[in-house]
Formats: sequence, structure tokens, C-alpha cells
Amino acid sequence: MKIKEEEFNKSAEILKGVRLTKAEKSAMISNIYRTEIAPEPSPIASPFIFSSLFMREKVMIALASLVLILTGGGYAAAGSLPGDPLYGIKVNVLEPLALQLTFDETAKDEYKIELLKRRVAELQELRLNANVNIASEEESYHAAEKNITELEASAVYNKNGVNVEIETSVNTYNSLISEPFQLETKIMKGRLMPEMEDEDKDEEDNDEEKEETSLQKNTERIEEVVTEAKKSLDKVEEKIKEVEGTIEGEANETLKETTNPLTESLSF
Amino acid sequence: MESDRPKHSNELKVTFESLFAEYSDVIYRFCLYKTSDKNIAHDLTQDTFMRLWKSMNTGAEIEKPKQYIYQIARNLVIDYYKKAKAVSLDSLEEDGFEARETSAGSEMLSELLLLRDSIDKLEQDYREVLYMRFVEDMGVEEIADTLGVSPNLVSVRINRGKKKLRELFT
Repeated sequence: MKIKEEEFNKSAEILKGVRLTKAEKSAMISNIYRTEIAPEPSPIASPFIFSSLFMREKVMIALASLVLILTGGGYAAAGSLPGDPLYGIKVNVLEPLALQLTFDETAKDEYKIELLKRRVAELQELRLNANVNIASEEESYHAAEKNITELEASAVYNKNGVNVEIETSVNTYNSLISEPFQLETKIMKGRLMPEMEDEDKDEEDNDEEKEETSLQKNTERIEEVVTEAKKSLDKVEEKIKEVEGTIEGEANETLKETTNPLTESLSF
Repeated sequence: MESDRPKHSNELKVTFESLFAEYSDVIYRFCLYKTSDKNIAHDLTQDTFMRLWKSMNTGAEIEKPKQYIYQIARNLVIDYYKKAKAVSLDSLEEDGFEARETSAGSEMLSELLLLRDSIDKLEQDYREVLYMRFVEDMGVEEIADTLGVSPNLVSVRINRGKKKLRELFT
């Protein structure tokens, strides 16, 4: 039966207005408080000493993995794709287990990159089988995001915060998946600031020292030039004073020479 | 709700009653939507809060009360259908909740059936998300929090669900 959009909206509006009455609510509260709460039965202690050990999550996972591997379930899980029932076992049990069993740190990093590439391959296979849906995309996204987090915690980036293999895999992955599930690495967010190698640090320190020496030399030179300029300025001032004195003396002499004959002629 | 269990029973009651005041209508609507029966919805709502009250009294730490209460209500609806044997368990698990025919014939319930029939034509992934969006006017973050999934997934489900829903309209 097809309905009109207006009918649908009207129905939704009607349901929105449905509420319990005050009386109904009060009655409910009273009924709830009146009902005696039976105490929870206390758990019976297990007669097996190691029962608690077997209930521990990690032990359970390890046991489950062992059973899976022995029964061939592990093989089935290893070939599973996002959306398959065994995919959770693959990414949450088998792959972390394999990572734990890799003892060499370099091999561990390589395996982590391999896992990211595996996520890409899984998506490609899903697309090939036309089996992409929200559930499979979400499952794949969570697995890939976990891989990225592990990779970012490792020293697999160069001094510029780049790992070409990772970036290529992430870009390919993002091209295969819907936008909301696209991966964002820290380098993409501009947050990954790799620590500099010691050698780089030394080089930078040397550069700084060189820069400092050069600056000091320049300052000294400027100071010398200023001092020389001051000296020259003093000499110029002295010269000016000298010239001023000479001019004044000459003017006085000329004045005397002019006024003396005049005085003599006036005195008779 | 705070994780520490209130020491005093009055504190416990205050917390419980505030949760009841906030969510009883929401849960009632949800149960009514799922069962199309006012009496059953009423009983299921009461049972939901009864279980919540019991959990609080046993010192359970309820970090996300809304998610927790919804989950109780969902479980009770499933139990109700199991008991009523209206639909097979396999069908419930595969297709979500299929409500039985309503016994009441009010206009409201017929509108409700109309709404649910439309939403139930969609895949299970979209049903609750659309219900929460259209009926409860909940935002993406709130739905994600209630269902315990990522906001991204909720956004995708809302958009795709709306598109699919539009295809159903005449």
C-alpha cells in the first residue's frame, strides 16, 4: 500500500502527540514502588580453582583462536570480508594474534602496513562482488581505522611525517568507500609532527651557531662604522668651529681697519 | 546519570523519577509504535521502568540512561512477541519487530499503523533511525548515542532511509 508523504507526516505528528496522562504516570510510579525488589541471587562460587582464569577475556580469546585454527574456522575467517559473520574474528582475534606473535619491530610495522593494504583489497573484492552496503562499509572502516591508529603509534613515518605506502593505501581506500567512512590520518589532519633525528638536530644547532656568529660579526662591523662616523663627525665639527673662529677674527680685523681711520678723522 | 550509586534511597527515588519524567512518554510511544496496543504499550512501559528501578537498587552503573532504557524496552517488546507467538522468533531476529494486528480501532492507531507500515517496508537498519528522527525529533548525535553507533552511520542511514521512504510515497 502506497501512501502520500503528507499522510506519513500527519501520522508522525499524531504519534508525537501521544503521551501518558498524569494519572497513568502516578499509577505507574506507585506500582513500581509497591513491587518488592527481590535480592539478586548471590553467585555460587565455582568449585574449579582456575575458573576465574578461564573467564578472563584474553584467555578466552586465545582459546577461541586456538579452537578456530584447529578446526579450520580460522582459515574461513581469514578469507572473510567485511559484512561476513567471521570478519570480526579475523580483525579482532586473528590479526592481533598474528601481530603479537611477530617479535621483530620492523616486521611488526610491515605487518601493520600489510593489514591496511588488506583492508583496501577487501573493499576491492566487495566492489567486484557488488556487495557493498552500510554494514560492510562500517565494519571495514572500523578495522581500517584501528590499523591507522596502530600505524600512527609506530615509527613508520619519515622525518616529514610521510609514509608513501600508507598514504597511497589510504587514498585508494578512500576512493573505494562512501564519504562518511573515509579515513583521516593524522598527517592529513596536520597533527603528526615527527620528532627530528639527532643528526638533524645537530645540523640545525650548527646552523644556528653559524647564524649567531655571523650576526655577531655584522653587529661588530656596524659598531665600528658608527664609531668611525662619529669620529668623522667630530672632526667636521672641529673644522666648522675653526672656520667660524677664522671668519669671526677676520671680520673683527676688517671692522677695526674700517672704524679706526674714521675715529681719527672725527677726533681732529 | 552519575555512576556513583546514590547512598540514600530518597536520592535514588529523585534520580529515578527524573528519568521517568523525561523518558516515560518516549518509551510509551515506542512501545505503542511497536505493538499498536495501548494497554500492552502501557504495561511494557511500566515493566521497562520497573526493571530500571530494580537495576538502580542493585547498584548498577548506568552511564547512558536513555540508551539503557531504550534497550530494556526493546528487549521487553521482543519478549512480548515471543510470548504472544504472533510471529516466529526467526522472523523477529531477521526482520525486526513485526507487530500484530491491533485490537483497538481508534483513528490514532490507524494513523500509527500507516506510519509503521511505511517504515517497516524499509530494511531493518533504517527503521529505528527513521522512527527516532521523524517521531522523536532526535538529532544525529542523540540517535547515535541511543543506539550505540557512530554519528556517521546514523547520518548515512537517515539520508538513505529518507530517500528510500520517498520512493514509497505516491
